[in-house]
Amino acid sequence: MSKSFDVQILTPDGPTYKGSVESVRLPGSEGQFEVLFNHARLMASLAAGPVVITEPGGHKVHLAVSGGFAEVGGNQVTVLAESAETAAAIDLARAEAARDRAKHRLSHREPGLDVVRAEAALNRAINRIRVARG
Amino acid sequence: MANLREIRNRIATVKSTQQITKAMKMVAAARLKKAQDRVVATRPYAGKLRDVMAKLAPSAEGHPMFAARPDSGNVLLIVVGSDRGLCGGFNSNLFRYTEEMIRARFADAKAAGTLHLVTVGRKATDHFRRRGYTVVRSHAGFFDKIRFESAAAVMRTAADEFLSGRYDAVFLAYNEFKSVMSQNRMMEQVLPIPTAQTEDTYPADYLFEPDAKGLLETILPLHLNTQIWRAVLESNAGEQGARMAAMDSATENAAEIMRALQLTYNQARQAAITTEISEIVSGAEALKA
Repeated sequence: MSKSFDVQILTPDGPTYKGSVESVRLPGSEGQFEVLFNHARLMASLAAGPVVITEPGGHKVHLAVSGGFAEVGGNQVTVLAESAETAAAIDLARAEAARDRAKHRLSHREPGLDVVRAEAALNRAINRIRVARG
Repeated sequence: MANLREIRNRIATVKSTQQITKAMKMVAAARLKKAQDRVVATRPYAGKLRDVMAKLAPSAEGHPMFAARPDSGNVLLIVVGSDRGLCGGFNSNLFRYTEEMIRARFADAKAAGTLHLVTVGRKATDHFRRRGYTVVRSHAGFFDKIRFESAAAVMRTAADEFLSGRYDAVFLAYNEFKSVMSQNRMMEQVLPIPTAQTEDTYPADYLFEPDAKGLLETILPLHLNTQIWRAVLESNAGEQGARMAAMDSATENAAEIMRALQLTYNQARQAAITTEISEIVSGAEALKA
């Protein structure tokens, strides 16, 4: 059964993940979806959210991505995101600080606050905390 | 005798200067290695993004970020220099080139005061402020800790201003890393996005989620951010390379000066000894007589 395909997650700071996997769950902007072997060719934009990769043998790798897009085709999945971190690499304290900062900014609305951006920052921070906690 | 001491002091001065330039060269070499690694690390991402951009570009018809504006009077120019000096002609070459380009392409905008600059790096800020350019934003200490987020923020603000109609075009000037010894001076149009002529599009059986237009909305910011990120990394690598080369020739120059001083010193010392001997000999002769 074990039909595996290649996944790579690329960021501006370098590749975060590269490997042969059995399945990968992605946070599409229209909802989560899972890619398995022989998936149809697809281009999808991604929201900030968790990526769950199942490696052959059942080992799962959790990552937090900041949004971007994924290309699926020919049993090759390429995820492009401006930031992607494995659960182990996330600095929980920093993520919590970022969340509190964003919350503070949204609750004390100063004039000239970019609400959309502050909400995006809050979402990213919450996503990282969730992934880090497993 | 005072002369001898003076020369000795000068030799000591040159020597300590040489130690500094040597250390700076070594530091620059280490930083260059790191900077080059970062440029290489970002390549797969940038390459894939360019590929996707080219394929999606045909569906961008009429997108505000692609549409050239008939009136291009308001120009925003982002100049990426360095924070520190002592790197040879790294900054001055780029600034001279930038000013040439401004004279050639935006002379009207400059005269009308509608050419605005965003400077990255202390040296760029100082240079263009002093010459009476309108610097609307400046970023200092950018290269102490290079983060994607801070580079992206510069571009995001510029893109917002472009979309709101504040500016009609955005350009980016920076040093591209060519080799340790040399940089390419670049000036690129960022917005409106120049459309590349490609026949390469996605085959019809591709699924798009949400659709090609929606995807483009996701990808365009990534594309713009990557463009400035690349410029910052290239510039940083170029700066370290230029500093390494400058400090190498300074170290060599110091060695040259030390050789010359040592020779003068030896000659002066020899002359002093000769004078002393002849004084002693003539004193002894006088006693004999």
